[in-house]
Amino acid sequence: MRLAFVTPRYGPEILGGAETQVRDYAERLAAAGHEVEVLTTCVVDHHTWADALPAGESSVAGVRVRRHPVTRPRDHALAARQQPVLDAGLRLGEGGERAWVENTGLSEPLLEAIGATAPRVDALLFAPYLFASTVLGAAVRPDRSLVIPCLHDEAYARFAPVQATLRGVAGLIFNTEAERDLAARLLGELPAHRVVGEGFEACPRVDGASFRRRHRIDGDALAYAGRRERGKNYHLVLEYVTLYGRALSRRGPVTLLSMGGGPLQPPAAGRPLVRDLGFVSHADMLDALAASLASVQLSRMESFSRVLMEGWLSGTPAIVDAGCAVTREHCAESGGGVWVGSAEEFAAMVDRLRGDPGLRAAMVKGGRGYVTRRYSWPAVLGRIEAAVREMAG
Amino acid sequence: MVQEDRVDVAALVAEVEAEVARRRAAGDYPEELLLRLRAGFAVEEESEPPEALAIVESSRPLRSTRPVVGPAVVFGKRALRRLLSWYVHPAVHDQNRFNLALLRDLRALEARLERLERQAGRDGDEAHG
Repeated sequence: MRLAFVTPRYGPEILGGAETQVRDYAERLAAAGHEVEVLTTCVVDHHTWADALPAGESSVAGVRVRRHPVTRPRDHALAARQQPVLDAGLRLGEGGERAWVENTGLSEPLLEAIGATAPRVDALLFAPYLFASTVLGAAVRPDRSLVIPCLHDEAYARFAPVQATLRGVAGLIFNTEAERDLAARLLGELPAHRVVGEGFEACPRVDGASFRRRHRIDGDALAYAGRRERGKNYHLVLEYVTLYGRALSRRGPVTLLSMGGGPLQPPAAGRPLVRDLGFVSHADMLDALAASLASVQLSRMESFSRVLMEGWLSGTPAIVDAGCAVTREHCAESGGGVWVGSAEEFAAMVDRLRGDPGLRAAMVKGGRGYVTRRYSWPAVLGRIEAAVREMAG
Repeated sequence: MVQEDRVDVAALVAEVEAEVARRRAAGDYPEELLLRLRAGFAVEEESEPPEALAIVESSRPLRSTRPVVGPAVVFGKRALRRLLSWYVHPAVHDQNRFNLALLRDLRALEARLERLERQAGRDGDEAHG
């Protein structure tokens, strides 16, 4: 097959779930013998949307990448005016929503390249759902466009231009059944769609004991890996761990191994319980997960949640938020994780996990089996190939 | 809880929820301590009523952290503020009128909703004799 991925940012230096997913898909499909190219911009930072990489053609891990400059520089004043309106739960109006989309790295040359590429590929695959490259890009040739939305239940998903694009394309590729259900609630009748998900290597090499020695970690630990911001409910992780350690635990405090970047810092009462590891390599993150009693992921803004899968593969069960349909579905289907709705439930659950290594081992076994069955690379590649053939063929 | 091939996590969660409800009913949790700890995680803006935020001020205290030239910088800012006041003051005045109009309507809606809920409650009581 001949495939072109379209994404606003591409490369190993780009962090983020959707960006990693596109890179993984592109590299794996290219390695499987498909003709794959990536159309993208020169942007690295999605806050500034400023060009940072050279325009033109290059090869990234065996994939042909064509970068185009952003032609609509970020209007920071507009962003500063619009964000408080969205934060207050109000609508921007259709014109405002369109202006918001166009303020996310719009590149006219990229739109032209999409139009020129469409006739010579079997499908254009766009991700994620909310930026100009997808909202405007997939509207260039909707009949040949498939969108991998990586959808969250947030204000942008209710924008009229976003919904018009998602309703009009040849097909949607979801990561989970819960994400598909969310799309159906937001869009009503869905165009053709398939659930594919992300792929994982069967058994990464991990060494939790060595990680503990290197970082001098005594006693039980919990792991958080991801963006440390309110949108990901990281403040709730800090609150639950603090309340557990200071007031609710029957077995003494635990240490939170906190990995990632972001503005949120623990308040004074929680500071001694948090080990701030900052940005770590992928191998170190897996070791930290292996060194922990459980991975804690309380975000409700998930379309898949890689860290859950990586935790299971590293030998760690998961604790997720009861209000997140996606992570809860993973846990219920696999038996590899539990969900909590309050600090008290979190505390009771952590106490149980600490006191029952057999339960932890059984949960890990369930989680690993789930990832291997559903999200091994051969299974995922088979599903994405079928999805492209059936929806864009 | 552990079945043949996987843990019944829904049952485990239900068990923990029941345990928490039992302990809460028995007054087993140190509520005062929890309240104090939770205060450290409260978001300031969320606790402020909108009335406290409705009036936008057009002049803020002027300061500069630069050594030596600080007073000159503050003087310059003050002069600039005075020069632009013909433009800024009317815009702020309009914004405040809008904020207050919105707030007045919001509070009127709130009062109306409260009345309707009270009325619905009374109707329900009468219907049940």
